Amino acid sequence: MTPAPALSILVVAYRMPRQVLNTLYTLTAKYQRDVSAADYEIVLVENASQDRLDPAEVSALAPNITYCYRHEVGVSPAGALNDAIAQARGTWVGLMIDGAHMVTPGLVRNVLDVARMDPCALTVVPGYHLGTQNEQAEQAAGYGEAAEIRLLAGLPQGGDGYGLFQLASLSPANQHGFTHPFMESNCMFVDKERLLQVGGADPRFNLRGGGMLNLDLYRELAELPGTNLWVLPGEGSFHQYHGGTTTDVAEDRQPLLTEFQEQYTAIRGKPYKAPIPEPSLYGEIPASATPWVERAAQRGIDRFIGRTLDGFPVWSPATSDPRQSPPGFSAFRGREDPTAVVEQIERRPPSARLKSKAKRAFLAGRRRVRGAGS
Amino acid sequence: MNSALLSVIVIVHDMPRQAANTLFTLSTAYQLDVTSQDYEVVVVENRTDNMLGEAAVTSLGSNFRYLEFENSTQSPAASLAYGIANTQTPNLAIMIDGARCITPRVIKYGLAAFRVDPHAMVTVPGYHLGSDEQHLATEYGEEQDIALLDSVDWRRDGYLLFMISVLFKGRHQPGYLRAMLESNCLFCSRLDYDEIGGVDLRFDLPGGGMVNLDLYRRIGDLPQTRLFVMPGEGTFHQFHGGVTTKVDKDREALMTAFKDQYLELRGEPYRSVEQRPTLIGAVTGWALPTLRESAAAEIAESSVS
Repeated sequence: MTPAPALSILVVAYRMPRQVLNTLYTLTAKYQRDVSAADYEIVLVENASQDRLDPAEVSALAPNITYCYRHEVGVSPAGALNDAIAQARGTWVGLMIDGAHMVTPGLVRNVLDVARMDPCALTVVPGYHLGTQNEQAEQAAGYGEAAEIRLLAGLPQGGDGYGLFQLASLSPANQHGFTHPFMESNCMFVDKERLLQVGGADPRFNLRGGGMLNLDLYRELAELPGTNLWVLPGEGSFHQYHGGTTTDVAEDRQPLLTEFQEQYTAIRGKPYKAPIPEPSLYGEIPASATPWVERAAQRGIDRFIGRTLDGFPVWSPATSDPRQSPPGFSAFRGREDPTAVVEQIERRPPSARLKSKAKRAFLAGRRRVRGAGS
Repeated sequence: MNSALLSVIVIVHDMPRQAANTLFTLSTAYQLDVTSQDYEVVVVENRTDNMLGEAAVTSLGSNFRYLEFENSTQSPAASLAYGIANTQTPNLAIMIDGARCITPRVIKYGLAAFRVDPHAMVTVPGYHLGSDEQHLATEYGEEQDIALLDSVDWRRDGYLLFMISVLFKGRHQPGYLRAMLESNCLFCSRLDYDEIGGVDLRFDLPGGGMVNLDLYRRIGDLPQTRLFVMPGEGTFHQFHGGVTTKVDKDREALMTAFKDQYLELRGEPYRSVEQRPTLIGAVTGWALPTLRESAAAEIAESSVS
């Protein structure tokens, strides 16, 4: 057996061989930059189906893939994920509960960087869907496997993988970008000890696709005391079409989501809420990701203004230091007219004023509402 | 002090008020998530008639040291070399202009970058206090600077410095998603600093001319260095009648002299470091406009090239 790698990336697959082969390719050292196969391993666990992967094709992709085919009596990926966790030899683990997500080429390097820097890191990658609308809208408009295969074929041959940013739209899990709280992450990394501390994947999430299993795992990890959230704004995980449980346009989607939420509440004793730890950014920004960065920055400004004017914390305290809790937000405290502060944010830098008419109306509306309530 | 991983070297010349503020922002009373064992601050004060003095420095913490220096030139280069020669830590943070306050997580993220890569070179975006870059602001002076700093509680929440400042763009500055032109708080390893032979004392023009840019470029051009930028942090220049940061009808001529000297010493005009920076750190709402601007600048550049 080779020495244990620093990182184990765990991928769960079920009935989507085409997509998983793409995903696996993007995880190999051939595609990932500045890392070698010895730096990490990929643990692929596939639940049995009629439409399974060809083991020979999987092992031909890279020497650092471990493939495990298993029978699952239920309909949730929790068991498969826990099997993968048990097999992981790395100090750090990456959780990709839906094997249909391709990734960008700086992912592994950046994850290893953050692991060296911060032993308490939870590192997440913003999620996207292939296609320029959200997946449900795409499918309603006739998007499917054939369209997606054409889309991916349109990427330049030998391209660097960052071209995916130009073919995608933001996932509903992080629809405003990385400056807003994530609902979940389909590509997240944490040290194995912390993962075991929260109990791995909770098998009680036994509904189709796991229900809110992945959201639960994200929240449990993000709210674990001492955890620091890191986001890789220059990387992405890109969901490929595969008729997933909640990424379909199936008519029973809404009742299904309701059932998922009810199960979450029954298990955790409270409704699901996205955790709001302050995210720190890490990594280079490739040119193709800059439109997403610009958009996220704008959305972050809007959220910052909105939350502070309404008297809500922008993030939960990132530090135990009472001097800064959370940092940067005391400007609004004790001010009778916070609009001066808002104008100050909007003024900086001078060439970057927000579109102001709509904004002023929006702020005026907020003040009226606040005034009426007091 | 020997266990510290980082020495911050601050050069002070005829600016006791500004330096006192800057040094406060370097203290553990203000910096977050670091202790006095993690870093030391070495202050080199040039001997003038208007000095800060040792007591004001060492009272800021057990990790502060004070060195008085007789600098007979008009350049801070010799002071910087003297300060660095008096340190032994594996990493350095160079602040050649003691008039620049910093935000509360600069030290934390600087130290973090060295854990990622021992050859990290870490930069911090630069801002000017006031509503315009200070060399363009005819009405801005000492009095306005003091009033502006008094208008926010920056000692308690250092990110409020963003509220009273503007991004220093300089010329052709395309934001920080590409390498900036220079950094007034520059982290590098001692090994890399030594490898380039340290600060070049031949930059002897007022304020050192392009000495700080030269240092940045030479370290950044080493094949092993990796460039980082802190998108959510900043350095904030206080008014002090600095050589290039005040309104001055002779500024253009001076800048030309600086460029000529650079060309003479290096044989080519100045250019920035040719690396894409790795972002590191949280970005408060205050710093998001700069992130947005940097992305917009990059989009504009990409569509041109």
